[in-house]
Amino acid sequence: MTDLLNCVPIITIGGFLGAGKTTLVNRILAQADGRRIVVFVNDFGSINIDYDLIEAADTDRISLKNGCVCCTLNDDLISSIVTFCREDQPDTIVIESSGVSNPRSLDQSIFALQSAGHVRLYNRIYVLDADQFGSLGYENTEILIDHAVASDLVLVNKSDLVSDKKLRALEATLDRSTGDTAVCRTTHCDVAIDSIFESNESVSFSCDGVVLADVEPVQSHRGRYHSWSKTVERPLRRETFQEFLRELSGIALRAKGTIVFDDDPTHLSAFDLVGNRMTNRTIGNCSPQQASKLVVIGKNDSMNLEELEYRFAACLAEGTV
Amino acid sequence: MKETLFHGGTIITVDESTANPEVVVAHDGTIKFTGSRSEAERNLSGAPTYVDLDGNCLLPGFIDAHSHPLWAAKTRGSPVVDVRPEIVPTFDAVLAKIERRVAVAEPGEYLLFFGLDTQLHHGFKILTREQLDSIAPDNPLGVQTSNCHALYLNSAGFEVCGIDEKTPTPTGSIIERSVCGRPTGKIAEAITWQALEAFYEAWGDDRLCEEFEKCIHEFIRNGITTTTEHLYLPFYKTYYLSALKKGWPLPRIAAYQQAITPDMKVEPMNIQNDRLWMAGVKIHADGSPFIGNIWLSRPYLENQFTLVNMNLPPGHTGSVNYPEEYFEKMVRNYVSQGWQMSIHTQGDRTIDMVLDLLDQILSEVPRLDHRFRLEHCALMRDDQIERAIRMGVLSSFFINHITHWGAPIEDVLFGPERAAHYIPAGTAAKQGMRISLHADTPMTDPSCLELMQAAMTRRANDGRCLGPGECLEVETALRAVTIDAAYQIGKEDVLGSISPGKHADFVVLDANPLQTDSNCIRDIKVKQTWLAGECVWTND
Ligand SMILES: Nc1nc2c(ncn2[C@@H]2O[C@H](COP(=O)(O)OP(=O)(O)OP(=O)(O)O)[C@@H](O)[C@H]2O)c(=O)[nH]1
Ligand SMILES: [Mg+2]
Ligand SMILES: [Zn+2]
Ligand SMILES: [Zn+2]
Repeated sequence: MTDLLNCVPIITIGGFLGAGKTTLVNRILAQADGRRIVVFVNDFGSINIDYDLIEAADTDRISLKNGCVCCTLNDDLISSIVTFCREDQPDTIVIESSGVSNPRSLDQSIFALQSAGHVRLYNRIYVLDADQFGSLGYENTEILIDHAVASDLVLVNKSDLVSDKKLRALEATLDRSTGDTAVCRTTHCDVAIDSIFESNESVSFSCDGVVLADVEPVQSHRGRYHSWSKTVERPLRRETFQEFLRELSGIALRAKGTIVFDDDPTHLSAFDLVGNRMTNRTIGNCSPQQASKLVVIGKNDSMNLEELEYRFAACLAEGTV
Repeated sequence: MKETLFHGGTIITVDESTANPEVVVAHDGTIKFTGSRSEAERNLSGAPTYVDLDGNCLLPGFIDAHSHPLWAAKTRGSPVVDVRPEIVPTFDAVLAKIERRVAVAEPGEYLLFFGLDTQLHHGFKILTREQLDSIAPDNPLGVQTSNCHALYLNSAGFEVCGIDEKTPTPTGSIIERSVCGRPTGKIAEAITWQALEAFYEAWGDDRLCEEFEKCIHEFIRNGITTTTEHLYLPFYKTYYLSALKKGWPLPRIAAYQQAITPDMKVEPMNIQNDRLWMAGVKIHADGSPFIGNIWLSRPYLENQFTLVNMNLPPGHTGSVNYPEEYFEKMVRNYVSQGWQMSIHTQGDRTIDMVLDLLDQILSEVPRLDHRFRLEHCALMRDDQIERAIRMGVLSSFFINHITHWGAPIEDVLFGPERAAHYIPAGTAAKQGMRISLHADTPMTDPSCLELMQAAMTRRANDGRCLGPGECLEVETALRAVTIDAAYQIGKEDVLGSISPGKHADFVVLDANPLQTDSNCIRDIKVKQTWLAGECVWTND
């Protein structure tokens, strides 16, 4: 029997599209305090925007894109974790799964790694977007609850955007629906890292004979969601692009990207669209050659990819390089 | 003509006479050759398709000897809401989920929930008709237990199922009633499955076909190329034929028709060369250990759990489903028609009763190769195993009871001594019985690797081991989901091993189960599934 305590602890971060997972990863990194934390970041689209936004050294962030760690990219995740544990063992591994993944199937892989003596599952955190909760329809809401239940800690995030009344109702729902899961209200995932690292110090998950729930068949979210990704090496027209995003907010569940605008070609800005909520921020200087990247994810029955392509083409600035 | 040559990996044939071949050749859906590559190539009739196993492991397709694929689609497929404890951890969480579903229901919409679990849902309380009425006054609503044997209904539910104070309780079933005869919410056994049909009918056939296709996929992606439909009913045939017609990768199905009266017609059939055949007749001698309707020589433990949550009287030893004469009449009738019998038996006294009856019948009309089966066999005793072996009776063990319910079985239902021999697959195998294992889907999910691991480790979900003495060796466990399972369904001549002349059904695994730590068997990945010489699933 391998000693579990010598195995690399893994923290998994789940949560629906745009809930605040990357925000939490950066919170954890900012409080690393000398621990070497390796982050696996999974983006559903073919461009990994999150990879660029995660504030870790290149060698300590691993991009898994164009699929999902709980299913299509599962083998890649496993082999890459095994390699890290053998060759360059970090203090902690953090996995940000894609916003469509099923935490239970990710658990299964990690339990398998644990049985093989490579890692130990340490803390499963689920980030819930309090603002969006309830607006996704009955079925999606149930999926969110089922997924939240499968974690050790639920962050009721974006609490700054909703009324205290809604927060209390949401917490009451979680309270009735979960077993031993802890629930914590956050804004921008402002949890103290200690509560993540210490909450499970004494508990080691026994995966011997754990009964795992059946997970959705592999194809399921490939069929349910579409993603559309784009990289362009030409600046965008601000107004047209904002208009494009406004239209998107009706059909896409999530869009994000890093963009160069033609009226300010030396700055790179990041945008986030979660449901109907848009945010923009400048993330730094850039050369005029800097490419703009974006990813859009939506339900496959509501997104027309050709239409998107066409609309987006109109955002490209004329005559610029 | 289609020829396929498998090479480049470990080949486990589960047949000593063909052990460790270098290659396997399949020809038109049948295994033609096993042995060395040079010999295979000398005898090829044309240019075969080469399948490079790429270091993976080729085995005979798995056989789950007792399951219900079509019925699983009915019971668990959408729009049934999954409330099993794996997903919804507490009793209150179940109620909350039901309330949320009712809140968005259309007027009159039929609502079903699957997976309420007396043993595993923390805080379990008995559900009443009144309670369900207050949650859902206007919608027919049913909550089925995870062991499938019982259903709780509200008033609208009773109405659409046509059950009221005047309904007589059918022989073999249970309707709990108030003193004046009004059903109080819970029904159990055969009437449960009849009542549920009202819900399935309301949802229509398109729904069923869609869910059936998904369910088939679950078996196939787990490498199961043959299973059974226990509780088969004649009207199921249409769905199976249509699945075959649509070209769905339907595993081979051994049908065991459900008998609840002595006079049902059982149609002999074998469709498309062993894709669907009538294997025998299934009768429920008793019910579920989790409900209390099994017949025991020693009572259940007495505690808050059994007395209050399960509502059992002190000293409860349960009973059988049918009056003995009625049961005897059924068995005699189907045996006289020459059918293989598959009898659901959980309690040891039930097993005594069944073995006594079979002994009697066989002494009157000896039959050499009857392969009578006892299903699940939770509390089978050692002396019964010996006796069964002497009589040629076979056990198919529902080993997932240990993984899913091991803790309550030991702690609150039967105590450590009985728990250590609960589902005594190890003893049966050691004594020389050709045993099989099953997941009894929809009760638990289809995976023969999980069955093997459960039988080899007997570990419950909290990590404890129930009776290390009953653990199986890996070879026995593998046989129990291949050749010995084939024997139990009467098809060992064409299924269950990689041997020339048998159907070319295979599973490709990414690791050799014979060399894998017993705690990691279920983590082995199924890479491909081959059915009748065709690759019907690959995980790329
Ligand atoms: N107002 C508010 N915004 C937040 C909060 N937490 C995160 N956000 C914003 O929500 C947007 C999405 O956050 P991310 O951390 O990228 O979300 P994510 O879950 O990683 O998204 P995906 O990986 O695309 O699924 C960003 O614009 C965040 O700044 C919060 O508590 N309040
Ligand atoms: Mg992210
Ligand atoms: Zn996935
Ligand atoms: Zn069954």
